[in-house]
Amino acid sequence: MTHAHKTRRAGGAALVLAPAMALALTLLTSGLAAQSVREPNVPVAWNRFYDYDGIVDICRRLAASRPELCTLEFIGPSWEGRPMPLLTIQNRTTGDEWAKSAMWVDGNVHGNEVQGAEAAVYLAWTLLERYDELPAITELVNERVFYILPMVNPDGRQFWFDEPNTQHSSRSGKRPLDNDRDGVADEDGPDDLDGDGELLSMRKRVEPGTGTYRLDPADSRRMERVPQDKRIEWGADYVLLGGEGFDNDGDGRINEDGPGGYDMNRNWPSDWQPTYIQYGAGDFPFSYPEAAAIGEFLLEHPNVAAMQSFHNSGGMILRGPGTQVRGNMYPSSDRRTYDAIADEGERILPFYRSMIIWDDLYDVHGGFVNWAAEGLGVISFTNELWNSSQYFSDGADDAPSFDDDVGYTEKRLLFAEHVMFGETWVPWHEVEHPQYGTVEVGGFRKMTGRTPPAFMIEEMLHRNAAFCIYHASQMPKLSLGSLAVEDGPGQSRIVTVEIRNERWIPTRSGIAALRGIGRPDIVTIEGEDLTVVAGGTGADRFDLTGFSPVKHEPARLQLENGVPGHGSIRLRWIVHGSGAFRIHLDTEKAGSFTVVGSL
Amino acid sequence: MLSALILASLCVIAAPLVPQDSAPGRYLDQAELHGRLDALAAAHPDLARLEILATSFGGRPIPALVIGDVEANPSVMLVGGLDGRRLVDSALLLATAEALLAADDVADRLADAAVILVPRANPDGAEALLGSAGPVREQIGNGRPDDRDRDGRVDEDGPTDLDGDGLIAWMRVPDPEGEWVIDEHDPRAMRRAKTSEGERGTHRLLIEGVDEDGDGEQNEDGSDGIDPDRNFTHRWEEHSAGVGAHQLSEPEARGLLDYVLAHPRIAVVIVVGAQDTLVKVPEAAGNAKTRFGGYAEPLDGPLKDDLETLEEFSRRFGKLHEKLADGKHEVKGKGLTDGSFLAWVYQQAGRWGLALNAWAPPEDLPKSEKDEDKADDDGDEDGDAAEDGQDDAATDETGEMADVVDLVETAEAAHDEGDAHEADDEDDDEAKPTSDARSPVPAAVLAMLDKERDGDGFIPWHEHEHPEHGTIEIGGLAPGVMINPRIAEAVALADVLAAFVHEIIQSLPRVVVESVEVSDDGAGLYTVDVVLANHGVLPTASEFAAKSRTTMPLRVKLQLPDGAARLSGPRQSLVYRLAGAGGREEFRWVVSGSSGQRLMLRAETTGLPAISREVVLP
Repeated sequence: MTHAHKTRRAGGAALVLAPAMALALTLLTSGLAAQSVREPNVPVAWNRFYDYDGIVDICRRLAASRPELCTLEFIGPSWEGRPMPLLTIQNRTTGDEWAKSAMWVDGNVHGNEVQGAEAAVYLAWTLLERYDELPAITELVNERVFYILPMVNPDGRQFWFDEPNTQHSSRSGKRPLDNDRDGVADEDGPDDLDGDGELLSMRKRVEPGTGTYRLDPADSRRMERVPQDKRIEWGADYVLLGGEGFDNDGDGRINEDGPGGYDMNRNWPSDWQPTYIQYGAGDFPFSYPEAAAIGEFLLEHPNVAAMQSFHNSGGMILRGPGTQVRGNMYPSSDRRTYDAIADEGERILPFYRSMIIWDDLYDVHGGFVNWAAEGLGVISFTNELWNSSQYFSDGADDAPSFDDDVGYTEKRLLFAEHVMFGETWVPWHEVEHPQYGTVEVGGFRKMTGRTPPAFMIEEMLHRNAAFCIYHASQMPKLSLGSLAVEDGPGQSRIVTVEIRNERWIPTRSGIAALRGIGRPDIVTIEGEDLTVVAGGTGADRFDLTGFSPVKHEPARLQLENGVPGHGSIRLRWIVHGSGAFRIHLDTEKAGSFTVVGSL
Repeated sequence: MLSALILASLCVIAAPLVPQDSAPGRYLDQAELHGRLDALAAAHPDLARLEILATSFGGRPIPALVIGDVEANPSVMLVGGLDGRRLVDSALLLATAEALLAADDVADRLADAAVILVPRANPDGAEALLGSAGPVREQIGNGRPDDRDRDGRVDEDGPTDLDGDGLIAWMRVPDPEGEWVIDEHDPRAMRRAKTSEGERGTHRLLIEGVDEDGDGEQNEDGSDGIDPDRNFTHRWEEHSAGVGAHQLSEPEARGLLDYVLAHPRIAVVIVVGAQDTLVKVPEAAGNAKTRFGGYAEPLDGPLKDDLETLEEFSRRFGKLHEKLADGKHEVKGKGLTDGSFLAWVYQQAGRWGLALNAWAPPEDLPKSEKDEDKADDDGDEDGDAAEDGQDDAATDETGEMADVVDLVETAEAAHDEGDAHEADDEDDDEAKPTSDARSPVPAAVLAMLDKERDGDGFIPWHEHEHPEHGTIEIGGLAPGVMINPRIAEAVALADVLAAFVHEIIQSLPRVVVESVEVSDDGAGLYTVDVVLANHGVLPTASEFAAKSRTTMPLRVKLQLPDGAARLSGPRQSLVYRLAGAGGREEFRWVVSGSSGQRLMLRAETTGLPAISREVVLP
């Protein structure tokens, strides 16, 4: 049967109004110059790390360099009173902040995981530096919003820079916590016994046969563990005494109650559990001022559609679920989105592997990306920056692994000696210890292991910023698939519109739809002389009567599932009237999208 | 806001404002309650003071009456009115405070203890029921706007006072799809249709209102707000309606949590509300998953040792009730509900959490002659029913109630007839008037209102032209009636509760140095043997608190003067738990020193007063 339907295609009557997507500004390639041969607008040495003031200074210079694109505000402050710089990068002339998808990027929630801050700032620098220069960057900045907070834990960061530390210490914030429950907080942390500004390892020589280690016969810097049955035969004459420090509080234990002593990345609402289940959780979610400030910001910014958190180390692109209990929580549509982005990430980031937190690492209750994904319904990743197998650039597969302790330490020592000229290693030397008598102190300095050497920093920052930029580019991008107005029986007209999402991230994540997070997307149709009789989703491509009409409010459809990634929704209305009409899709995470047509 | 308040204060509530009583008083609004607490504190300046725990979402201060020195002494905290509708809680706690302070010897009895009373933790919800902002209505939460139906329009479809009587009541809407029928024994009451017996419903029961936003749902997005008692961290129900954007998002919940955390000497918290642990002790925890020797998931109830303590609390409360108020208190309630303050108190703060539900409406109709007859039939030798006894529900009724009497009589007649035909038991049950406990207008509550309140609290069903449903009836139980008794009943437990608080204070852990023995071992060496014991009834920590290391341990150490040295024995010993009623821990030190030197034994923790004892070397 042939209908004499008059179909007016978008080319004629329909006009797409997408304020977030002013394409006019994108193709300015005339000033394109290779970054490598010109002076940057904001010169920053990317082969070093910066303390709190240093990061704040870069943020200020970035904001000052492109005030039309970048604003700097401070949230917090931290427990010790440090304001936390937050950069917002967007082009306000191409549309309102709330009408664009936004990406949140942070770093350094663990104070010692310093390079997260540089990675976040490097992303901001790249966006601002290459705007107007590289169309991909210009388009991204024109169409998206970035909220970049380099230092989630500025106190822990500054303490790591200022005080003797190891690569692992100063993970916590600085709110005192009585870890050993003796009534005094933070009274027995590590001590720099010899005042050389380093926290190293302690070993002590004992009577041969009474120790558990001996010096590696091939290299006296290395300790070799002696099997229990060989201790006398081999004359094991060393014991390891842990990290540098003594018993400050006289309780017989060493370094058991250091500064802070909690984990701010266990202080977020989703699957938060108290300290008796999850170490470091705090008294309740958002009990730490840094987490509370970020939580408040994110709850007020439902436009955030992608999140990235930078940690170190191990070379991982991590995503939730955080715990086995929630192992099956993410719907398959979300898993596809995560896999698509993370797979690309593995290509952008050699040495990095895509992993699921609970399955590939361990249970994390109340982690930040888990709150982002499970609480806010946002596609979110944690990158563990730097993999120490990168020391050996013969490739990840050939590099000695952590499991191969001998080969690993041997290679690191070689690296320390011949590549770093001794910078990263402190030779064993004798020190008087108040409890142990004469001991030897030595080992790797803090600026190694979890962080790359200076000459390898920039590559790490760039590749991780590139992953963020890819992730950001995958936030939903809406376009008109088709608009058709056809004659129905009687005076009725049938309006069918298909709205596409050209990216991987849906306007509403599967979790958001399943758990009822946030507001469904809302589509309205209106016109001066328009009466809506019926409306709904699931418009059949061929059968005009095929769709799922809603019972109430046909002119205002609620789309719990939003517009899927690399997919589309087809909506249909039966109307009567005449003249122009306007279809308006309003989303929390992808702005709004308007199609205009005429009956 | 201001103009709304002025309007509210001018508004005279003419309708049967339900939480009311002619004598001795009525439920107090927040300002009045605050004033009464202020006056109590002012009357006992040496002993009591008022603290502001928090400011509610709606901007109302939440006062706490503190009796005694809560910083220094082990304390008992009483909290009520977390559920905005429960005015009964605050009335009981105010009366309890008055009872505590009225005792002549209160200063002596609280010399080593303190009591904190928070009568109304959710004042915004209470004000909704008191009608201070719009029509009188039930509001569990604090009124925070939250777009409950997630349609992008906030609080756009709440209840509406259609008949302008100042109350949000019930609508019964004739509808063959409805699940309700009019109770044949009391046409004011509604019960669910017995669908299993083929009965079809005739009505829907809806809260008074219209579908303001045209989405087919009615009253689905009002302004109930967030329930502070589902806003705590223990098993918080993420993404459920009304639990908050995150744990402790609400100032009412946060205020309570901050106060308890800041006061480690609060040993026992009694929640007066819809929960109960005193009549029915909660079930023991199932086996929680463990990892590295600790718990890997939250416990779902008390540990076994703690259950014994909770049972002891329950026994003692029962005994006091029998002694001071006749008979048993039998009002049960909910247990450790998810996200509740009570669950947090025990399962995360590591304190004892008790709960008392002061009042609940009757679920069954009063025992009628019919039942007594039946008891006779069943061969109960004691059955001596007064044949001329009237059905309680039917006595002293207005003309309207005459219908009910008629119906009852008809039913009785049918019953007699049935007897004549040797009807089976099932027919017996069917004929017997019952009350549907899940009904918002149950026959049993109507019978109680008739008997005890001259019918106050029931709004006679009256016809109304509804814009969507046509002719309907508005009426039913007025807001709050199912929750709040008359004041006299609300405060009836005050003396028992005050006595219970004193009994708890008497039972609090009391750590003493039971013995110190020093022996001279010669050559300047001495052995010091110390026994610490808990002479209180309660352990120094719950089993849960000790196992989870949630509360601070007792730190025991022997301080030595210059010239003395410790040769063996602990530098400092951490004792997480001393059992109640004589739980002991022994310590031995060997020290070197000289005769006459003074050593100091100290045992300290955050939850109990410090103890110290000088030890002189002989």
